[in-house]
Amino acid sequence: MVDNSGIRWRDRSPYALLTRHFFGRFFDNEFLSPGGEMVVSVTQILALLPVPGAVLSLYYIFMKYAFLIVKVHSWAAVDSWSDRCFFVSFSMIVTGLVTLLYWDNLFPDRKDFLNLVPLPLGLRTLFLAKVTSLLLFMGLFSVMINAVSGVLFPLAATMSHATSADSARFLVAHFVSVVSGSAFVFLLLVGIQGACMTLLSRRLFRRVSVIIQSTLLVLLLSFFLVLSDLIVAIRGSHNELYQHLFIPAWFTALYDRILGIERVHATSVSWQIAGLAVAASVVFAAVFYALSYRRYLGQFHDAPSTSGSAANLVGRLVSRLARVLGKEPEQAAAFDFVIATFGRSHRHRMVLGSCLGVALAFCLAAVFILVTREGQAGLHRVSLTLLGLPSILCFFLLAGVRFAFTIPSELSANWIFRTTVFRPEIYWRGVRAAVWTVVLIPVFTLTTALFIFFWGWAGAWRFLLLESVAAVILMERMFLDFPKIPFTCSYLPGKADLKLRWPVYVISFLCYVIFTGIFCWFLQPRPRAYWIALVLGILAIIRLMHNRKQGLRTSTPIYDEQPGTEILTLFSRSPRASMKLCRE
Amino acid sequence: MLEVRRLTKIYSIREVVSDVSFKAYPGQVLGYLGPNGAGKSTTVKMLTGLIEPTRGDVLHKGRDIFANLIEYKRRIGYLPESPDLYGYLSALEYLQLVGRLRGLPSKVLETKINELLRLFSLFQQRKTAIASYSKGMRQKVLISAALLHNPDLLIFDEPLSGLDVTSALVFKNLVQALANDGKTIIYSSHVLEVVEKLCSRVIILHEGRVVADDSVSNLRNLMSLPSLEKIFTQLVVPEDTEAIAQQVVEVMKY
Repeated sequence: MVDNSGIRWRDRSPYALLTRHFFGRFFDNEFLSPGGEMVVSVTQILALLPVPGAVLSLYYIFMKYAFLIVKVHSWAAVDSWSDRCFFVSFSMIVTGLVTLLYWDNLFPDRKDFLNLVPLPLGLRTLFLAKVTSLLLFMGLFSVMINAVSGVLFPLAATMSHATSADSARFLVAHFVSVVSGSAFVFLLLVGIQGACMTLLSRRLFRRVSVIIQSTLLVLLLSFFLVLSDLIVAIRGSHNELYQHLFIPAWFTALYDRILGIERVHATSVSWQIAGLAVAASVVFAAVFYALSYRRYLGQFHDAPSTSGSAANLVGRLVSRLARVLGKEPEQAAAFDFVIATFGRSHRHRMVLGSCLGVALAFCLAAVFILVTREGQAGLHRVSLTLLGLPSILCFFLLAGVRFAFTIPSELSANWIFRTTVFRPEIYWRGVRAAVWTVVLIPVFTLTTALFIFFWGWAGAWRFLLLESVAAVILMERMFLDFPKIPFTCSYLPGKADLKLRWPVYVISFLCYVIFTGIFCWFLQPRPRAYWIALVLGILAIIRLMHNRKQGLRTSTPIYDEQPGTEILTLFSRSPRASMKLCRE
Repeated sequence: MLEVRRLTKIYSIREVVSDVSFKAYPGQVLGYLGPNGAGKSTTVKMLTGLIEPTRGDVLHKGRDIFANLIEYKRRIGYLPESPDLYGYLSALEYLQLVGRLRGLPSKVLETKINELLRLFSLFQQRKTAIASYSKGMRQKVLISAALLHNPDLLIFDEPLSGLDVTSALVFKNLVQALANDGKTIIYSSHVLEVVEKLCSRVIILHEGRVVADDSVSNLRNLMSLPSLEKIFTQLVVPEDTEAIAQQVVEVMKY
């Protein structure tokens, strides 16, 4: 729309400008790509979102419905409830995960406040623009998640036996139900954040926020990992309560209703619950978002800075521990710095919290499957599933810690390390002690309690010992060629090896978890082999520690990250420039 | 004219600003001084409408600013203490955003932005992301943003922070030129020499209260002291600074 002066409405109206601005800020997600290349990261996510749905739809087209429909000669007679429920659930889970990823962008942040509040804009304009951008962004994600599957699956499920009207109806039913489910999850999470912000102080909210995010992440990922089993269980269950508690079933009932097949495939769940749930979530989100909005904006300047106090009980205990563990000053400095950064830096806490969330989700899913298949007895039997739990936790947490180390806490403050002469090998002793404190000690305390509870001390200690050695080897190997002082080196998202090396990480994870479990299982009844393996493991640790020490003595820590040659070659705009850089 | 009447801000039970009153006139550069924690930034935030005072009034042209805050914000240019900018925007994009939100016509805005960026030597880097700017460059972007809409009242909070010598000289002359143009300027800073040279009047704040409010020359005569630094030391620095410095040297030798 262009007015008489030739200026477009979207360039003139503060509301439109702000909406566009806030929408653009969603691509500036610190957690995704701290410091730059945010558009690339978010665009990559957007591009990848339709892939799972597309793959699944193609499977349905070629493998399942083609044969089924030939048999029954009518699309309406094919029982597609489980598949439709899966698509609804998948859309809801991904929407939930995306909302958690953008948890800190749901409200205007400090930068918005400092830059926009001094301008002549009403709070209502800011509020409406933020809400609009939020809805637009989530709408974009919702469409992307279901873009391909939303078309392919209805085609697969109706195939040649349906009229155009039937196919169109299926298409509408699919989109309405998946979008309603996604909207419900999104609004529910916005409402939860708003309620926390309204009810808690800002400082408490910052602390609780990470816990809420991690818990919701665990729930959503666990739900995803056991989704197929869960849908089958719900479908076969005669317990109405279970069916009603299974939220995707509400929206699948809505799907049935629009398709007009609810009498054929219906569970006991009524489609009206879906409508009520969406309406309730709209009210819940609107009320708490509005309530928390003004309070939240006011807090940026209306209270003196309330950064986390180090003088709490945990801080004192950890400081005491540092003094016990490290006699050398560099060691104590490293330990305190790592612990303080994990304790107080929101970004680093989030990285660690997310890794813990993913690990717990895997663990919960594994235990869920074990219990559904073998009942309570499965827990009291030594199984690979339970033996794998500490390995899963250690792998994800150590990988998380390693990744967090590469993200600078305050890059401009790293001059203190650059201008200070210290012994890196001694400094790394402190870092190692901190990793023990953050990962290994908590994981093995928890595992010890769990294993002893289920298997008794006599049955558990051998496994615990061997798993501990494996975990220490993993830790030493992970940090063997780590050339940085934690949290002090510049971070290049372009360096993100994950783009190229994710299969290596996946294979490493599987190998570590499976082989550790199998190894423990195999060695348990063979005492001589067990002790030999243990001694060899300890020797491997000593060797790795020695190598690391030697490496640190001869190398100097890096503070400015350089992109890898493979990244330069693949992602640089000019191939000639890439080659030149590679040669250099 | 900007009039401040018995302005008070209380956080929990701590009175950060107490009964501050003054008037700032067009064509005048009002220096606002005080040691760390004296309440300067809190006052500035109340003057810009970012936070509401616990008690007292801020009147612009005789009207309470909080009665029509949006209209007041149209008339002020504010340069904050810390250069918090959107790092992923370029200087050009940032200034376009600010100018458009302030409702400036696009042709005028483009001309202003280009000229300001040229004058502040940022034109070459105008399309580079602010994230890669130095502190001084960010400060120049903020100064440009504060001047873009030709405001009547300018509030500068530590404006020279990060600026190089040339830019600082340009800025000092700019402040003088703006005052000559009839703008009301409030200049909050720690740099006493600059305040002494630039400001026609100074207010010295200590523990939230005004301890001096006069022209520099009057204060010098009144207190029989040769410079603003001496006056400042006399009014707000109770400790023996030389003794403290000596003690620091002693501690270093432990």
